[in-house]
Amino acid sequence: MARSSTENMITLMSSDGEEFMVTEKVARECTTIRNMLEDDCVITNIPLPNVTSDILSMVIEYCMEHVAAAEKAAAETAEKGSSSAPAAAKANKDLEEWDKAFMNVDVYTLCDLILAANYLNVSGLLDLTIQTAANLIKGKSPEQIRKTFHIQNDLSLEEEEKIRSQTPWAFEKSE
Amino acid sequence: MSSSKRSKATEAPDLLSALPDELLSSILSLVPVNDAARTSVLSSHWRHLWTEVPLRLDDASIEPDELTLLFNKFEWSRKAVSTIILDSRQRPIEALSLSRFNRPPLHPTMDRIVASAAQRGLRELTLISEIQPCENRYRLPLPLLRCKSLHYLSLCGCQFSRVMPMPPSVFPNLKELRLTAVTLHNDSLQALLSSCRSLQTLHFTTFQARHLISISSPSLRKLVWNHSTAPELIIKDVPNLESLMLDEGTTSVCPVVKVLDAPKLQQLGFISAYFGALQLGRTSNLAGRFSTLRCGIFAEFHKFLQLLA
Repeated sequence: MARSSTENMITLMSSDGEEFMVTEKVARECTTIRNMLEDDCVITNIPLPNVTSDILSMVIEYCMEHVAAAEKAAAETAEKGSSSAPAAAKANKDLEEWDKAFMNVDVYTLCDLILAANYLNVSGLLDLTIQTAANLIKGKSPEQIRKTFHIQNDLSLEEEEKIRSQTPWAFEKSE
Repeated sequence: MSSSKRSKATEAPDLLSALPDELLSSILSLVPVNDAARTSVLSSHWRHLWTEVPLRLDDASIEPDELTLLFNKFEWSRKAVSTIILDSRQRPIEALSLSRFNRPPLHPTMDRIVASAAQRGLRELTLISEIQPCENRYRLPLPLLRCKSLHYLSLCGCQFSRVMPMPPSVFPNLKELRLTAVTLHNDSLQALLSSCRSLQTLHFTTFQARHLISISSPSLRKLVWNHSTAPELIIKDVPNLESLMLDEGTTSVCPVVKVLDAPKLQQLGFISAYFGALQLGRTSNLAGRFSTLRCGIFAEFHKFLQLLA
């Protein structure tokens, strides 16, 4: 309600005990945290036992960037009465570029980010990370995918042959 | 368990496979079906994951390699598609495009596939059947007409069931309908339009009618008439129509286009010299908004325009 409430600071604590001070607005980007705040509005310290400090700092970085972009767009609209389409398109493109650069991570970080985005319920980050993982699978042979994600093949040769023979159409173009 | 495949496993954990299945399904839902199916051999954990993802399937994209004879190629992809759809009937189907079941002997199989998909959450369907002769055209099965989940339907060379009038709620949630070389009488079309309560976009392409075509729909916003013929096209009662596109293809013949009641019409496009007359009735928003008209024929346009008002 009151403007100052959006400036409230919240402390997020990672699984390894590191504390991160963020504005309530940034914390609210995580639907899981937003729900907690709505249930109990005096809460200022939130332990997140499922997220390590390095991943949490990345999630916060993502949320801050997206909150800043949304605020900038809102300020521009308020200033000029209406937002100009080319400026908005450019801002979108910049944010997309930022997302793309943000996704320049190794597969371990990517998998941890997927889990954290899912747990904290940050839909934008979940879509982004899931799409990035999908791009690593698209058009690749099983061997390439195993190598990318370090997947151990526990199927015997006979089992693998049998599975391949059930969907032969899936295997004939890529290899 | 013979996991004696060198000791790489300890230094490089497989975090992807450790993700919850629902997240892996989300990932697989974003890749084409061929890519998703290939993950079935990654490891035993991945064996069935791809089969739990809502299917988006185009039979033309499922092909054998070049070595298989052309003669067998379509047969081969038909078999693959039938297996995918009919062997695991619990699997949700999101989108389906069939073009390889285009001859009458194959229609019973297509019926089974389409009817099964209609009960499994199908949202988008494209059916391409043989165009000539007329009696060989694929007839839409009744279970499809009642499909509640369908949002998009594109038909080429098909015909509607002879069971007309239609059941009271045909395609109750359909938003977009594209009819290409489809046989449909005006009565059936009207019955169809009055029961598709959510329809917003309607395309006629190479549509040939010997009788006048009259369009009434409470929900329709966009109508495209493309390379199609009819003695008369009447926009009778379409209160929400915003855009009417009349294609100027050389084969389009439509002596009279009458717009009787379309108060929200804002966009009128591609008027061609092949249209005999255009009569505009209640189209209050249209004045001064001929932005999409092609300049080359604009001079001719005044000749055709008669305001009924």
